[in-house]
Amino acid sequence: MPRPKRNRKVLSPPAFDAFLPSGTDSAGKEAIELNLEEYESIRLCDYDLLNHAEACELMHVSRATFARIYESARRKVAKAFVEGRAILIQGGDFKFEEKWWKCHDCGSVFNSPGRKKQKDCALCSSDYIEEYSSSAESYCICVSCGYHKKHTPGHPCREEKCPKCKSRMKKK
Amino acid sequence: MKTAISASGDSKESLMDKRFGRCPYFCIYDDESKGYSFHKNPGFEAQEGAGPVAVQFLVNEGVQKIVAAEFGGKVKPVLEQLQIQMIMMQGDRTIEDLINQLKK
Repeated sequence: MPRPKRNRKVLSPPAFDAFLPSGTDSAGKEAIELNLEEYESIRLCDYDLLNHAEACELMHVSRATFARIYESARRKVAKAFVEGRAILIQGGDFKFEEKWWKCHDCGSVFNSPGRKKQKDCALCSSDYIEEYSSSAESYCICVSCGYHKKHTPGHPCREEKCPKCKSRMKKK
Repeated sequence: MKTAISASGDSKESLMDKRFGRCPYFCIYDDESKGYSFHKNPGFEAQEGAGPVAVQFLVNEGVQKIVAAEFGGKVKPVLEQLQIQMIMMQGDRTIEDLINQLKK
C-alpha cells in the first residue's frame, strides 16, 4: 500500500462550486473535478504570481510535488476549456489554516477567528451551514419541500421521512 | 459588534463591491445600535498595498467582521492574525440586502 498523501495547505476555499461553459450543451458531458489543492496551485502561481519554490512552501509540500499538482491542474483546466466541460471544484487531500464554513441559505463562505466552532451563519444566522473539509458534516434534504436536517451517521438518508410532508429524503 | 461591508457607493441602495482593498466606500454596521454609516476607503487611491491600508482603517474603527466578494493574498494572513472574521459573498447584492441579513 502506498504511503498516504500529505495534507496540502490551502489558504481559503473558493466562494463558488463550479464553472459552467456557456453556449454549448455541457449537461451531457461528464464534468471535470478539480481538487482544492489544484485550485490553490493555480491561484498561487498564476494569480498571486509566485514561483514554484515560494508556492510549495505555502502549501507545505515539496517543490516536485507542487509541480505535479500544478501540472495536473493545468491539464484539467485545458481539457475542460477545449472540450467544453464544466469544472467542479471539490475534494482532494488538503487542510485549511483556519476553519471555513459555507452557508446553504445565503451562499456566503466565512471563517472563524480563534478556531471557535461556528453554530450558525455569520451573515444571516441560519443554522444550515456546512464545514469545508474532506470529511464534512452532511445533511438529508427532502425531495419535495426542501426541508433539511443534519444527517445521523448509520441511518441512510433515503430511509428517512420528511417530518413536514412525509415524503422521501435524499443526501444533500 | 461592528461589521464592515465593501460598498461601491455611499448609499444603501448601492451594490456590494467585489474587491476588498480597492472598494471606494465601506459601510460599517453596528449591531448594538442597529445603525450604519458610510466611510471613504483610504486604500482606494493607494498605489500599492491597498488591502493592508484598508485593514488598518477598519481596525481603528473597531470592526470585527468584514463582508466582501474576495480577499487578496496580502490581506488574509493579516486578518487571521487580528482575529477578524472574513465573510465571502458572490453575486450582486445591495448594501440594504446584506444589512437586513445581518439584522436577523
